[in-house]
Amino acid sequence: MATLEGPLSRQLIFEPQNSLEMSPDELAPLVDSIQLILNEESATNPFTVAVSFEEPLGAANNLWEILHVFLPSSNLVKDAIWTKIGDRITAFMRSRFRKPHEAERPRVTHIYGPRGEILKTVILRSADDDPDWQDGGEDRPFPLPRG
Amino acid sequence: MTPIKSWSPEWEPDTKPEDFPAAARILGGATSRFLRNGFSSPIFNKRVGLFESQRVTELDDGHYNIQCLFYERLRSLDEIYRALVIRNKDPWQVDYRATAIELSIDIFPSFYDAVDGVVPMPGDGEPSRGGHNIAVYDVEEDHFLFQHVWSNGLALDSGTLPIDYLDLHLREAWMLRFRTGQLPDEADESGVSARADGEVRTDLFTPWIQINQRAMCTTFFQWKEGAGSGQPWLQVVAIAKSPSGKPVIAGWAHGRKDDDLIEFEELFVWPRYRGKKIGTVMAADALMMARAYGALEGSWVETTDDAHSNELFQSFPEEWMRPTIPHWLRNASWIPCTEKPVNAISEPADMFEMMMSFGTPEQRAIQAARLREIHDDNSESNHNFEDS
Repeated sequence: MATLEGPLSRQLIFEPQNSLEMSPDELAPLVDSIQLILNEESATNPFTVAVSFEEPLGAANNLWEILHVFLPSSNLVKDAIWTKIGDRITAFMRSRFRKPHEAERPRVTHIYGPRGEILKTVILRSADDDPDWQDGGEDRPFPLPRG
Repeated sequence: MTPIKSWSPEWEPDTKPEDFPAAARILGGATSRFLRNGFSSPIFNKRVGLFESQRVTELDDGHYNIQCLFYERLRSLDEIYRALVIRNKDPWQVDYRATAIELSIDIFPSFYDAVDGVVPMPGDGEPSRGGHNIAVYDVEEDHFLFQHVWSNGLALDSGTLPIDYLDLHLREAWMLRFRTGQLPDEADESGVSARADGEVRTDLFTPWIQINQRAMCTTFFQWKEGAGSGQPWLQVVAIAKSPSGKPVIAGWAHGRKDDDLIEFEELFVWPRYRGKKIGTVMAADALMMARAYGALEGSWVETTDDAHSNELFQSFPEEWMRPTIPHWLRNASWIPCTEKPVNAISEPADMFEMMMSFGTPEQRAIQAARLREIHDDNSESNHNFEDS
């Protein structure tokens, strides 16, 4: 699992909305599996996958569990490889429903482009629900990731 | 007769998209992601509420009424009880015009699937998931009634929370009020607690103040009666010029007086007006006014959520204008004045000396005149809070 170092133009960054509910250890299997997919795609110069955590400040919790994924290129979601990555993400988020007291929490993943714009959003409303993929369309661009 | 003109502050978030993360941090310690999802701390909400709701009315040339809200931190469950009683005994809130009491609590996973909103005590080993805002509006037997909104903007929800939960997992509690009840020694029968040099009005506005157009800011102060403990609060408000030249409340400081001690829990300057020493002027004025009304010792208290905000500032470059109190002012306030140390504000004469060490010449002259007048008033009437 890479750290937030190196050129951002080659990194996929995974960042939970609330780092208290999704630890690095919990994210590691997802990140590692996506790194394997990327390595298979380009053995010489693959994208790397990194995780980012911020201490949650303030005081307003979220019923939805949210994962942010920042992509180095908006074209990535148009590639064939995205199907595999998207499947990994939805499988990971689906597994989160098994946590105690959390079977009712919808799971949301926002996929951002390099300018911070939302490219895709996938929502899982229950463990048995089909993933609801939505295209981005927010007027206000999302701030760039740190780094 | 000069027509009365009123206006509200020019409400501009003064944030371009690329500035958004930093601006959010400046305002309340919330990161961009959290602000985007409504993730804010109670003190952030109170600050925005005070600034947004202010209203300035021009009476005649150079004289203004300023409508200014007040918020206070409730320090314990007992104070929350008392504030709830005050709020609920008068459903129309004629006397106090209180808004809901906002709490910041630790939240646990069992909160997420609480049936019908009846939140249980967290189980053994249940990990905290961070903070959460709720607004309590009543108390019954062994639980509080509350409302809350999840931070992604879902509908308003309500529920109950055990009293023991708050006893163990309360972070902070705040109450915002439009009108603050009366202090026995200062208010008239209508309940106005504001006091300044001049006419006392009986509406929600402050007494009129005359603004020094040449000074960087004009400060005035009011004593309020706390809803939590009944102790007096000192509110110092700084009026500055907005970009259009109209007066605007640019900053405020709140201190709670307990016998000889006054603890300032809030010193805030709206981001647009930072870097002009308004905070320093307010801090110094607050200390002087506290001393003039019987405080012998003062301290600056950093609340939990504000500490998060200030912590973030440490990673910012200097030009972001970190909101700090000058060390010489902080030191002076911490030293018990009964020991007569250097820099302590022990006698009015010392206050004059201290006052002359900051501000513009015009401002110093106004402050000096005002302080002498207050001091003379106090000497004549032997007025202080211990007598009330």
